Amino acid sequence: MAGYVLRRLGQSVVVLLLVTLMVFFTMHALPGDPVTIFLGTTATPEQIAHYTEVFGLDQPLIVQYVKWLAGLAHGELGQSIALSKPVGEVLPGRIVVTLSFTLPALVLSVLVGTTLGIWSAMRRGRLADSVISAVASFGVAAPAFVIGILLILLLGVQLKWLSISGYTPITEDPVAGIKKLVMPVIALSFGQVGMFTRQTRSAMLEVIGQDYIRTARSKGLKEKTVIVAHALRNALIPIVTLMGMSIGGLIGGTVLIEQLFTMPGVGSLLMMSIMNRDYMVLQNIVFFIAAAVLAANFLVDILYGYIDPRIRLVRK
Amino acid sequence: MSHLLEVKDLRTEFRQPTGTLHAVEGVSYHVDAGEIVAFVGESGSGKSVTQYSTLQLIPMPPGKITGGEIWFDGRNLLTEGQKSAALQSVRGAEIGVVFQEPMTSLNPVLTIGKQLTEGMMLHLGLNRTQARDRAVDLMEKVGIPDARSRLDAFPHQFSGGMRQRIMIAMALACDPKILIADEATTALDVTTQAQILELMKDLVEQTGTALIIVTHNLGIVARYASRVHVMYAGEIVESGPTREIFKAPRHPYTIGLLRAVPSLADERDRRLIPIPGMVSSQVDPPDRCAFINRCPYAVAECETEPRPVLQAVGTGHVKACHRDIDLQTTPVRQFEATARTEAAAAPSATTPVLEVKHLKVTFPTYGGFFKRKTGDLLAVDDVSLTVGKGETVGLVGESGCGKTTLARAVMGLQEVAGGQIIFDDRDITGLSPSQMRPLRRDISMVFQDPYGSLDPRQRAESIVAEPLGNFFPDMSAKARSERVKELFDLVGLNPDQRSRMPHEFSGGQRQRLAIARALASEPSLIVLDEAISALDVSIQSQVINLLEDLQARLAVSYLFIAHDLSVVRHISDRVAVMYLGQLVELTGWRQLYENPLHPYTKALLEAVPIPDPDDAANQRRIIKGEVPSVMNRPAGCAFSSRCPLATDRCRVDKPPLEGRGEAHEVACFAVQAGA
Repeated sequence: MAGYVLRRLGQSVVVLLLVTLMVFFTMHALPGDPVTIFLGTTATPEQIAHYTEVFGLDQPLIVQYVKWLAGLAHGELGQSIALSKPVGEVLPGRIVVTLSFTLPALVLSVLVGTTLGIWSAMRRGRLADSVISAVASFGVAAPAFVIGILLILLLGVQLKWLSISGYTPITEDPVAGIKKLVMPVIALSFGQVGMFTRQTRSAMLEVIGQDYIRTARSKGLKEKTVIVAHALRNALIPIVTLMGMSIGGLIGGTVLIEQLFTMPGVGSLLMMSIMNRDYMVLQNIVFFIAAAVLAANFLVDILYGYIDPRIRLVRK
Repeated sequence: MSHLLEVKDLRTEFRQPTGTLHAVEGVSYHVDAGEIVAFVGESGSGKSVTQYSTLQLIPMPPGKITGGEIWFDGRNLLTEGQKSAALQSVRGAEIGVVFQEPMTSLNPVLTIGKQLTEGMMLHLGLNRTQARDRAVDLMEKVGIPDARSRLDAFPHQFSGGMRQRIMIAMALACDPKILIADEATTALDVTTQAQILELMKDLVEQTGTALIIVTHNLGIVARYASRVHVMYAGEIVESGPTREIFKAPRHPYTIGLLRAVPSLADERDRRLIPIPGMVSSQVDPPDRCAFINRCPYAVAECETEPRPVLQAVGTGHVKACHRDIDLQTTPVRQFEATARTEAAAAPSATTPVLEVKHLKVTFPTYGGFFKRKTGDLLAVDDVSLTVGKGETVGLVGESGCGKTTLARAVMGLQEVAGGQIIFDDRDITGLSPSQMRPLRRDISMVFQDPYGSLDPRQRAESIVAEPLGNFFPDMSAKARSERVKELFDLVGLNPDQRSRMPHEFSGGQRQRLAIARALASEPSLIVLDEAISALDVSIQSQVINLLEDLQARLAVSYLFIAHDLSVVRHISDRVAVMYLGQLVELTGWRQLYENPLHPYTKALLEAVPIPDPDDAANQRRIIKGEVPSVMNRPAGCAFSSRCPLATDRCRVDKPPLEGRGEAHEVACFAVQAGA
């Protein structure tokens, strides 16, 4: 197991390096540069040349890349041109905002999705199953921003229960803070809930048809024991796989959701930095997103081993 | 006197898109303490569904028990709901079930200790420590070594035979009054099967538990059961004391079944008499005898009368047939020739089609941090074998003995580590796939699983025509279609069905299709890898007869790989016995079965139950131990770890395959030294 973990960690580092490399060079291949955009149309060629030198943008790309990596290793994220601030000062606050609605969305998706999926599988073919399946399919098919707009129209504009945009830190005003998170969380998790429901339902149905479930029933175990102790654990593998994949989906979703609800998170910063060609900010955001996705998938792989002893042994 | 379990007029249905499948149609039986009762029948006969219905273990919906009474312990179990506490207190506690597939019937993610103890803790009120102690006792009782240390192991860490022992321990966990063994040994190797059956028989004798054996294997029934229920299309068509059922069967289906099964006690020249056709659909069937379409004794009356009911023909012997039939009755209908087709030419071992010389096949093993190759696993170890023109060589052995690997090597599908394969005087060892391609015309193969080996989206016609297009590219479309019809005729398929898809055929028909495909290129050798083991007995005999007829007509050679010794005996001219990658005995079929020399061959033959309750062979002793994994092959003779004759020399040196008498080769020091 230890050997497997080490090997897997090594792979992740290599992937991470490849991602940074790709992002770095594609970004610099985009037309336009941050200094020109920052200084505006009135800037003189001398000013542009000066600032280009100040930010080190006149150096060969490979040197810039290595410098950035070296900085990263020391926790030095570089300077944002557009914001005129160190990236290290901007990013943490943004990450907190984004996590404050993505984490609840992930937990909600997993809990509600698996519960509905199990419930639906247990009532296969009945009305409850059909309704859940239909709603789940709608959730998967409808883009998160459509759900968001519907929520704004219903809860914000019509019922006026919630304010339709903005962000209040929970530390400042817990009630207002949580109220403002409700819609983003629901909008972001709606599709995810649908996916988890469908995946859990089909995994449970498959497991319940297995011989060992019949064996468990033949022992006279209570139905609840059969489902929880015998079936669910076997159905977890595809669910956990989906968890790993949904992290990527959630992060992608934040960009739209933050725009829609005007939240100062990583997603909106990402959009802004692309517009401004703010290389340093972009690079670092992409790096952290890639690291998060890789870490999630690494965790998923480790989880497999805990769920299924057969996987544990094969990778010994 | 009231019985331990009494089932009256049980009816179970399954709702299907096309109608209602009547899986169990009015079945009544009883079981008393300490007796062994058998249910026999082919797939779809309802024998398993009957047992599952007793405990309401069938999936509901789509299943539904629509009628009957199940009396157990003074209660009618059918009045209790599927998820009721009353039924849960019977399942596992009073009636234990051992299921067919040891590989899939245990939960892969839970330790066997957990799976063994949960029932005890629930029904017997034991705490965890007590339950674990009891689990260890049970595991020792069913013959699992190092029980305590293996309690926290997972199912995949055990072999199939060991898993089935665990299943039995689990079913016995709460001292049930009845043990139901549903095809409990079907998936196991013969020697393991015999051990498990003996184990269950001993338990019945010691504890007075009643045992219900559900099987399609008549040999098992004859060896163990005291009473037999023969099921067909959801009904019991005949039941009675075992001896009477075998010696004086009174239902045409029972008679057909007994005649269709090859037996070790047969004369080889006996042509198997298959039951023609296949089971008629049980979806909304008409009210008449279900066997009518396959019955050689059916008369006009059978067409018009309603379903026959069971009537007594002796003490405890009943049958459901309008006519009064016994073994002497002359059939009124004949479906197929009863004599063997005379061979056009005698098989000749002197003109070999295939020669395998000192063949070695290895698989690499990997380990360590970077998954480096750490060694070689010898799957086929120095095997030499010839197949003559028009000859059938049977290759038998238990799972993992390397017989399929050998077949793959012959087909050029497996890299060879040493030795030679000579086909038609050409060395074909190590040919590249493109060099091998023209040879595929001359060697073809039929696989075990008729469901997996045909492309589900290809029409029957195109499946059979594909080799024609491959090997006879100049053939006109018309000639090709003529040839396909001819091939359909040859294997006994209706050419009008040639545009059907594989799923529209039954298992036996699909295997015929696979044989037609194999024959299309006019090969001189067909490798049949367990080609009939997935089929029901009545269908098996149809296919065996077909293979024999084809050989007589076309002088094709067969390399017939199987684990069923009775079938191998029936079809083979010579038989090779493999054990852990080594050939241990090779001789003509008669010598092998009448005068087996190698201790392993003897053990194999003794393990096969004979479908005759009086056969003395059924009392023989059973070999102990399990086939070791190839990874742990004993040094010297591979069989030395289980051999009663093994000496120190056997554990060091590998005995060579040497001639012993006329055309009889055996690899055993003891035999070569002794008489």
